[in-house]
Amino acid sequence: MSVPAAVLALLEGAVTPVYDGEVPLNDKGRPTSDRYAVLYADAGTRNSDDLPLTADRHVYRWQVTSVGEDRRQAEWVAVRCRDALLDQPLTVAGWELTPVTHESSSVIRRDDDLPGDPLFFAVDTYSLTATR
Amino acid sequence: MRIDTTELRQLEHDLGRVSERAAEQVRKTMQKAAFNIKKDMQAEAEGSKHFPGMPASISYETWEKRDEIAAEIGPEIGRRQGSLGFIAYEGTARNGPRFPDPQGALDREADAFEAYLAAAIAGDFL
Repeated sequence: MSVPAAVLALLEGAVTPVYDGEVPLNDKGRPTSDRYAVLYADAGTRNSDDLPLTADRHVYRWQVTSVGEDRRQAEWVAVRCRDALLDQPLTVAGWELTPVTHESSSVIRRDDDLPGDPLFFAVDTYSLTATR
Repeated sequence: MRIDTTELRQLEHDLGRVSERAAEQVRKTMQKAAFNIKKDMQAEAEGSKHFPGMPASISYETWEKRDEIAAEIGPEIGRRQGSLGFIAYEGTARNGPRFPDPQGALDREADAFEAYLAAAIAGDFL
């Protein structure tokens, strides 16, 4: 299992549905659910400045977009996701992982650029370092 | 976005107040780091079909308070597409971010910044 897959699994245990990088839309272009979380994860980065020390050291960053039909619901999703990521250590076989760091949290915004009623969303970013 | 300079500030505290010469070096170091991060973010924002104006909207500003030098780097409201920065970097309910998290650009600069900052402060006492 990769680090992004492990993150996705944790989120799936916290809220339903959780999407992996893509939000399913109906034929009008509106998300098929009014309450969900989306994981946008990178594939990890390496720093080659100090190859012997960093060859097996990867930094993973990801964003969780938490969506609801009002601000309170978006906040609820965001808190559920945050608690899932921070309350227990993430484990991936073959890797030693640092605890997850909550890097940033944005204000909850209203998305009016949708067919039908607006949705509200919160954005949180996280990171960890994985070594093997 | 923050670079933790707690230990350097502790060093500074331990050694006493830095001289004006060291302070000037710290100013220059901050300016250079902010410039490098800006260029890095501009490079990452190149080539977007939806946000062609984003690279030129990214700027930086530094300022000083009594015991602090700070920098703010990112899309500037008032420049073309600058007000769309939050959409470009955070996405919407339907779409994800278009550009990498600026934290990456900050991290890439962190080691050089900390090394130059240490030299600026330590050099004052040699």
